[in-house]
Amino acid sequence: MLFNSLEYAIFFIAIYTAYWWLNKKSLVWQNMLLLGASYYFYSCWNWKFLFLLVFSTVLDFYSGHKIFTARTPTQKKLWLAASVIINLGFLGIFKYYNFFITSFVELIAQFGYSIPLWTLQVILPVGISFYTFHGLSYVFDIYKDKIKPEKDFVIYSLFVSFFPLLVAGPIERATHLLPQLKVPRIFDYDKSVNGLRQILWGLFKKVAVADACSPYVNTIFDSYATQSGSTLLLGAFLFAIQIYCDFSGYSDIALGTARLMGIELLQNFSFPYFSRDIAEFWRRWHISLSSWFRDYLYIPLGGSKVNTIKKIRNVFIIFIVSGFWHGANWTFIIWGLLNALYIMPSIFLQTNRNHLHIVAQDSILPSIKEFLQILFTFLLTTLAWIFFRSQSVFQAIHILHSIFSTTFFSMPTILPWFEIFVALCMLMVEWSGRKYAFALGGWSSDPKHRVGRWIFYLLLLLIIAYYFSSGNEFIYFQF
Amino acid sequence: MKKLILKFLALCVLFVVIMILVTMLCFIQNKKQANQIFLPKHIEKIYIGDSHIQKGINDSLLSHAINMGMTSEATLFSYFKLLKILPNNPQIKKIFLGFSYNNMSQYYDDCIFKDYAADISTKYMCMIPDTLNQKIMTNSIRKWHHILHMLYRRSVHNTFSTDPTTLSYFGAYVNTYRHTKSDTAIVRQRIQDQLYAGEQSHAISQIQIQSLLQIQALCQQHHIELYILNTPLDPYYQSLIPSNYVQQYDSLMKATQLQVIDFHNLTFEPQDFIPDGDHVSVTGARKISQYLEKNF
Repeated sequence: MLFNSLEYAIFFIAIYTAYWWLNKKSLVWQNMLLLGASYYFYSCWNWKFLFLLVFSTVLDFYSGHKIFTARTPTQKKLWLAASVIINLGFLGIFKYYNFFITSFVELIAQFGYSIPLWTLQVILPVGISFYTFHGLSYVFDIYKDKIKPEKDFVIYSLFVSFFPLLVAGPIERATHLLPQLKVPRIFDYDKSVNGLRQILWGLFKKVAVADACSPYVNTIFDSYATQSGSTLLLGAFLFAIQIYCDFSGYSDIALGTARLMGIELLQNFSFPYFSRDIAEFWRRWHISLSSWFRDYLYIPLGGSKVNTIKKIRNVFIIFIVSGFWHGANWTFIIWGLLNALYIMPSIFLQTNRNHLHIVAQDSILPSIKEFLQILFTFLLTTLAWIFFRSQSVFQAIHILHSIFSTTFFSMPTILPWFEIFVALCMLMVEWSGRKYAFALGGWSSDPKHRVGRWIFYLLLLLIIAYYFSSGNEFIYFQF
Repeated sequence: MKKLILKFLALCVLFVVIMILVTMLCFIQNKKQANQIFLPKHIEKIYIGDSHIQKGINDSLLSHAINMGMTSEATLFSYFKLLKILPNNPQIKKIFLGFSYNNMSQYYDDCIFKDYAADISTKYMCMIPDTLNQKIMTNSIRKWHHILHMLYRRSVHNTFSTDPTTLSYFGAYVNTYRHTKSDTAIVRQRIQDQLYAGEQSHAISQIQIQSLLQIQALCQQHHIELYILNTPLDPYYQSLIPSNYVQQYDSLMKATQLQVIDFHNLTFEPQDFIPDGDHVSVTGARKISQYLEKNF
């Protein structure tokens, strides 16, 4: 069941009605309803993997208690290690086993040896990377005495499986979400309207921009060998827009859905394409994952409070792991490596925290310097996206080679004007709302502007309806 | 909460009303547009039909010709396309109509009126008679939301199309299959889908046959030569075609005295077909197109 489907709309309306009806009666039943709905939502993909999700939930719930009640630090460490090994073990089997075994066999073949290839013919359980990280953050936080283990299994299960974030995040923290699940939710009209706006904006980005760009991106990347440099660069730009709108669109729908139910989720995107350098980009792109790696990997490794060599090592580790988290392919690892290289100058020059606030905070337009910085950062990220989108490293290198060839100076053979126009309009709306949590986040409910707002909503709906096609999955579901 | 629900419902209702209004306005414009399709003056040959033509005729290799084939296009729709196009384009001298064994199947009736009506028939609704539109709508009433949605998409798309070749019903050469060959499992599935209804073979579609005769009459009226293209099939696919289809096809062609081009004098390799065995690949399309350019 996809967010951008009629089935989901019916499902959500039913759950929403029952949810607020139960609000007056019992918090326990309300949470039970959400948990049941979340499990149903998940089982719509593959009910067999529901057992894996429940197992992972039970494991982390149990190990959280064991870590908390352990008498000695060694016992604590052992329970933590057990949880981490089992969690990452499942992730490793489903996501990385084939990659490692294939790479190993290929490496052995280089030395003239041949061993049989034992690959697993299993599909990747949807959302495994996300709910595994939910669970891990919980046990890490207990280990570090940041939180106490949750006593209520239903509440904990809901924290792991809450349907808006179950399959593609944001990766929530126990410190943020668990307390919200323990208290009665209060209906707030303004917040609900804001949630609906965020859902509408997310749907627009997913359906009218990401899905509309998708066929052109697919055509260009599939026929990369015969495309000119200019066409390939346009394909890379379109993919940059597609992946942003696809993923941030998903996050907007998830956040808006949760807000309608009186629950606030972590912000996952904060206008990353308006970043002035790569460090800022990574503070604004997939924030919940970046901060997860920062808190549970980068800082335990020493973070930036170590000597330069270790600092460089830590940055490379975090980006390579981040790349590998996205998928078992060398293309993702190189994508991570490239980003680590991009960020290096600002680490050396200690300028990585220069741009903590959004660009042009006190003006309508950016300065020329800021504009050029934004453009340069966008170009760098786009070049890295080529590795992310390509099927193989060879393909990515071929594309880069073609872009930096004389064929760059020709008109692209594929030029979807209308889709480019819609994408630019989307960026303009995002620019106008860059100071808020999402593009329409600053809109008030002032009756004076009601007509204008409704015209805008209707226009968005008409464009969404034009591009709407049931069954277009979100890119991040595969991770 | 009542306020929120009421406002949300109001927005939904307003949206549906505006969507219907936009569809209607665009549809009226599309109807006018369909009567004003002028092909380039040098185009003298039209290739028309379903995916066999769409994938099989690479018109970039042909002179004075245009491919107007579209996936799952029923012969009925090809007739209405020609009915709109021919009066405005007197330069047309030859028409090559794709009509193979599968085109006689009642499967195409489903494409027009039933299962696939929303995806297929909505492309042509602005150029077919209102009585036929009503019949399509009545038959697909259970999927009204899908029909409305697709009709909205097609109508808006056609309204903003500046080039007639991008109209929803126009068609073009599309083939991305390279280095492929037929796959027996896919061939069997294809045959099952198109020519069988369970154990029994599909009945012969009278609508398809009737439309073929109407196209023949239309061509005679405009003094245009009509050729029937029976595009090549993978041998395994060919062996699975129900015998009654082959017999009926042959007798129909004999009775109508239509000129059939079946490419029997060309040799096709396995890589000239795509996995379903029913269509040619890029290399197959090149062979067919070069043959037609040389001989017709």
